Amino acid sequence: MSATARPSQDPLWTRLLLIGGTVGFLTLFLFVPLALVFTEALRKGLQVYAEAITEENALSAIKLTLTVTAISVPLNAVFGVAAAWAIAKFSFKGKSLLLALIDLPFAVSPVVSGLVYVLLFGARGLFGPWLDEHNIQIIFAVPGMVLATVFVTFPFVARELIPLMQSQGNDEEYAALSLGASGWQTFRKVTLPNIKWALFYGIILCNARAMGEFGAVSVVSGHIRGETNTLPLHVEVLYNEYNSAAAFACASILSLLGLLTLALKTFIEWRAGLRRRHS
Amino acid sequence: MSIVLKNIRRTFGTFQALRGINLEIADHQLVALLGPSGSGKTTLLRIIGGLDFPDPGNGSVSIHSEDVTEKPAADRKAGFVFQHYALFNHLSVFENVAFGLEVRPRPTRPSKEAIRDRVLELLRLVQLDGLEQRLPSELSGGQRQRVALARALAIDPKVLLLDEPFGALDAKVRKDLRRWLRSFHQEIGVTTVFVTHDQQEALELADVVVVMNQGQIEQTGSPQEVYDRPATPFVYEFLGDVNKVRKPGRPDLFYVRPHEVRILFAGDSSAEFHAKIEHLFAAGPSARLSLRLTDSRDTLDADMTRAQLEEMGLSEGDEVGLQLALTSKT
Repeated sequence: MSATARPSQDPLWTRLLLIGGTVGFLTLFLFVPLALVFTEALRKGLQVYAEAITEENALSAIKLTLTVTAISVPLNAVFGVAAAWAIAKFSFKGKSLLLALIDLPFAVSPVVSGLVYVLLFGARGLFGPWLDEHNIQIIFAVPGMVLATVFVTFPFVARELIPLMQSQGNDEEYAALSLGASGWQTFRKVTLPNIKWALFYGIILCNARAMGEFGAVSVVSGHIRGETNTLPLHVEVLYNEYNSAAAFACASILSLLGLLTLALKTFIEWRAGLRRRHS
Repeated sequence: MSIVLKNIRRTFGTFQALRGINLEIADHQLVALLGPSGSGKTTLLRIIGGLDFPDPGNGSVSIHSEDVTEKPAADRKAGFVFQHYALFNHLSVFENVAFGLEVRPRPTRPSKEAIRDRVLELLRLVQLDGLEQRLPSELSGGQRQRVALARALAIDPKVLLLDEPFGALDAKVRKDLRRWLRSFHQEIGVTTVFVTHDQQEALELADVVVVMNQGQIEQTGSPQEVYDRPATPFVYEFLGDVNKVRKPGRPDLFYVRPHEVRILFAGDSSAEFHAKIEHLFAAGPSARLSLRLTDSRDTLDADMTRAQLEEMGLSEGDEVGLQLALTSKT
């Protein structure tokens, strides 16, 4: 097959209108706001910017965001692989129910998922008295925020892997087993290399969402400055105090993380594309 | 006995894939499991290899006199070759073949040099020397098939199990590879079981043909046995062309293969039946005649040599007499 695309038969003005419309829309709704975040952040000069992001509460927010992400992303990578494996490689009763459950976090509002955890683990929640007795705090503390983040970001890895693993089937795993490989060897030497790029892609999406999550985390955080505020929550607090320079400075960090994610994602798609063409 | 299967049953939901299979396979034999799709032949092969298991308490598998019914695939030393090869696409040909040796626990794992020697020897055996650094994606279908075979042989399997080994190949390669596998099997002598739905393939290649239908074994025997003395109507119809004929005034069906039909002149006194040639097809080594019986109006195919056809000077529309070696199968 030839790689050259068929030249468009549509008249020039149609093409210009479509391309112009798309570019205009993207500029207005995506590029301009993003650029504004950085200009607003730097409007009062580099020094104010530097102060805003090295201020004690900002640093604590960055640290908390990284902590929550560092716990929830690996957890979801493991859960995601396990869930995708179960769904793609075994047949069992209630499989479609499990698939629907995996999508649940995408379907319900993050605020609702946060509230559910408050109802479960809050002081007046289902397990509240028991937790209180044993002096364990989940809500308004880091464990609650990790739980909320895990819940919201659960589908990303599993959703990436399920279609891929289903299309690959079980034959390679069976071949490895018949050659004497153990279950772990089969996973490490056969399954993992086959899902490597999709897994990486899922982790990156999961990571982006984990760092940026606002709704669910907001409900369980309690907004204790310097203790339970993640970066997105910190931005909101600053903004509500009319401290827009600092708010935008912190927002710019989130945006940078987002751009970095985008770059990584593009790189991975490019690599995965190369590999597909290769095989 | 190399493989002994006793009363194996396997059910998927409400579907009975295998309904009590008993089979003994002698050492060094090349055995074909032949049957239409859904007959259970692949399920049976997977059960021998430990990739599937009989219903609990329903059947036993032993390989080289050892009961392996409960053993997982990894402990059976059964080399399995998959229909679509299932090569590890991210590994080179060399690494694919070496896989079964590399995954052994340290005490029994051969040294790097020993693995290297063994892999290169196997690649020579399957005539792929020089291709060890290629990726599976850079090989043709026939080459991939042979890599899969070398990979399965690397573990010194007690038995070799091939699932539709030529299913994904085109006709020409299929034929070459079939001939090659036959001599290859003679050379290595490992008891081999292969699954096929192609009767020609089974008859040409195997020492023993096991004909399966609807989860049961219809007949087991040498190719000549199952072809010449089919045990059931199913085997008769599945192995080669067959005519079904009724005798006037009798309700039962008789079977006769086209080459067993003797064509005589219409006036010949030894003719048992009379028929008219409806169609004559003579492109090929032998001629095929489509006949319609005068009495019962049944249709019937018959084969005869081209020389015979010319000698008798037959053409379409002619009346002929027939002699049929009829066997009742109902």
